[in-house]
Amino acid sequence: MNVRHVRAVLRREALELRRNRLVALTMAILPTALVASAVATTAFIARTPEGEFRGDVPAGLAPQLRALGHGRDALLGLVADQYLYMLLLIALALPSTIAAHAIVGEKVERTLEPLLATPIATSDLLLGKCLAAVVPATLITQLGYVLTVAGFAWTCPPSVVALTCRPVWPLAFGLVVPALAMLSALASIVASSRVNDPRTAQGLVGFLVIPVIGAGISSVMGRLFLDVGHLAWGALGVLVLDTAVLWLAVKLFSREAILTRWK
Amino acid sequence: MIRAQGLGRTFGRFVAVESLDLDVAEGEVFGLLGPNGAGKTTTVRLLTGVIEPTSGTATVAGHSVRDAPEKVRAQVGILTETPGLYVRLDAVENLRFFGELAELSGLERRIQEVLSRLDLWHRRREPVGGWSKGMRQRLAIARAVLHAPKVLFLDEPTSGLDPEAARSVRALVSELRAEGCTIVLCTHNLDEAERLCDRIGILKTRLLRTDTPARLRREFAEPRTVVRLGAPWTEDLEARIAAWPFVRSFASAADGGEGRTLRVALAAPDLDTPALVRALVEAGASVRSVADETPSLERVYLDLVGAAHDDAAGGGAS
Ligand SMILES: Nc1ncnc2c1ncn2[C@@H]1O[C@H](COP(=O)(O)OP(=O)(O)O)[C@@H](O)[C@H]1O
Ligand SMILES: [Mg+2]
Repeated sequence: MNVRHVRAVLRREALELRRNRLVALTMAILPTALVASAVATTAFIARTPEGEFRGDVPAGLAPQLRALGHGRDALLGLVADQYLYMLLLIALALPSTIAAHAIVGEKVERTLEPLLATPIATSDLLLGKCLAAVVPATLITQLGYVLTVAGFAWTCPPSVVALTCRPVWPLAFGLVVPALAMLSALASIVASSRVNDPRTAQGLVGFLVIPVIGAGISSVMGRLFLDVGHLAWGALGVLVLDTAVLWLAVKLFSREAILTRWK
Repeated sequence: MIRAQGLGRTFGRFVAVESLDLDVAEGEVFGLLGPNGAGKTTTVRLLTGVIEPTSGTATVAGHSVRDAPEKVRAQVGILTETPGLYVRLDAVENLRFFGELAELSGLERRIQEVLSRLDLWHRRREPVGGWSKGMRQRLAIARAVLHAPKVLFLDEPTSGLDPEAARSVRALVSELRAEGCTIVLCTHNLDEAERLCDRIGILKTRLLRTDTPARLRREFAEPRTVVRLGAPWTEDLEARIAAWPFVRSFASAADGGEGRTLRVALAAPDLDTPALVRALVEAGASVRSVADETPSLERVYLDLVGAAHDDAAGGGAS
């Protein structure tokens, strides 16, 4: 690995990203809307007098939520958890936007050929492109988590805030989010090698959100209350997928393949 | 500087380049001349270590394209068929990126030097997306020479440019040539090849001929006498023409209709033309017209490429 080469690619991608209003806007809108919506929704629920919930805690909820003791707080905890699942989706959505543009853009502008005529190793090029998608997406997602929890601290009672800070969430955002972002970036690079429209490439990556949404739905249904054990299994799954897609991406991302098979 | 031996590349069953033998000396400008699809770009990709040969090998700037393609890539500069610039970046940012990949020291100074030289320095802060084709091509050349490569590959540097821009690109190539750059220039423009190159290789999947423009021209450019004949034409007549003492060589071709066009190289054109006409008439041929022809390099090229085409077509049918 040549660090200077990877850094050069990373820097150029970042520069282009900043100039590409459409992509920059797409990247900003989704997290901003989610954080705002999380804070607004919890603020609205928290303002409803506890009396209107008549103190009942719905029976179908996870025991950890029922343990909060108040109907309103249990609902707040449930909603807060749902928003955190959705925030995880950002780690999947953003890298595919960036990476798809980074690859399809080069294909359409025909900039890959002069690039491939330089000494850069294709693995460094692949790494640079991945990092260019993974780093901003990870940072934005993590910032989203911090802002959301800060918002909850303002809108929710401390017991609910404590739930959103329970070990599994910082671990998820700290460690699993980069792996998720990597999966999304690699998958869109693989998809981009076959299509000439970034949106199609992004669309093909869309199926990756299914497990995360599935986890969110299970938790609404009271079947799942995410803990470190679940997260470890999830992370293992993501790493296995990461490895598989990385293998595919490296194969597709060779000079020969790019020049002679990417159309 | 470049030595290729039996270099070839196939894509599946399609042969793009076949058994290419090539020697390019330091400081030489070598023209690869061939029609579209002749394999020029493929040859450049092979010689720059971008794709692997399927047969043979080549050494470029002291490194084997098979064993050390990354070293080859570090030593060569290449102007690809399309300039392939980052349109959202400005000229300096475009060059800086490639300079970083080449790990140049004193990069900013070098960028200024190259941009000034190509008369682009005053436009350095504009995104190149808004530039004219000619300016983009100049910037692409700037990028190709940024790291002072040992060999420069220019793949159709003037195609698609307006005459003015093409002229400025040619002037630039002339300058580089004068400075002693080793250059491989792909083109399908004969005039360009003739003006810019020390030697020309005529390529059509295989390298059909390699020589200096002057020698190619001299060898093929001996004046011919072109005689157009009406019917009838017999094989017998062909044999008799070949035997006439004043005929050094000749070619005959059907001219579309019943007739025939003869291209005859005479021992002494001024003296022998009347003799040729007389002999033809006596042999029973109906002479329709007689003219002198000084073939251009274009004729040479078309003959060679046409013959290669016929060969290929014949080979495929049998
Ligand atoms: N990656 C590829 N896959 C299949 N055929 C190719 C590929 N690259 C080039 N060819 C074929 O090889 C031939 C030579 O192409 P090229 O080297 O681009 O010619 P030129 O540059 O002289 O126009 C063409 O017929 C082209 O279709
Ligand atoms: Mg070409």
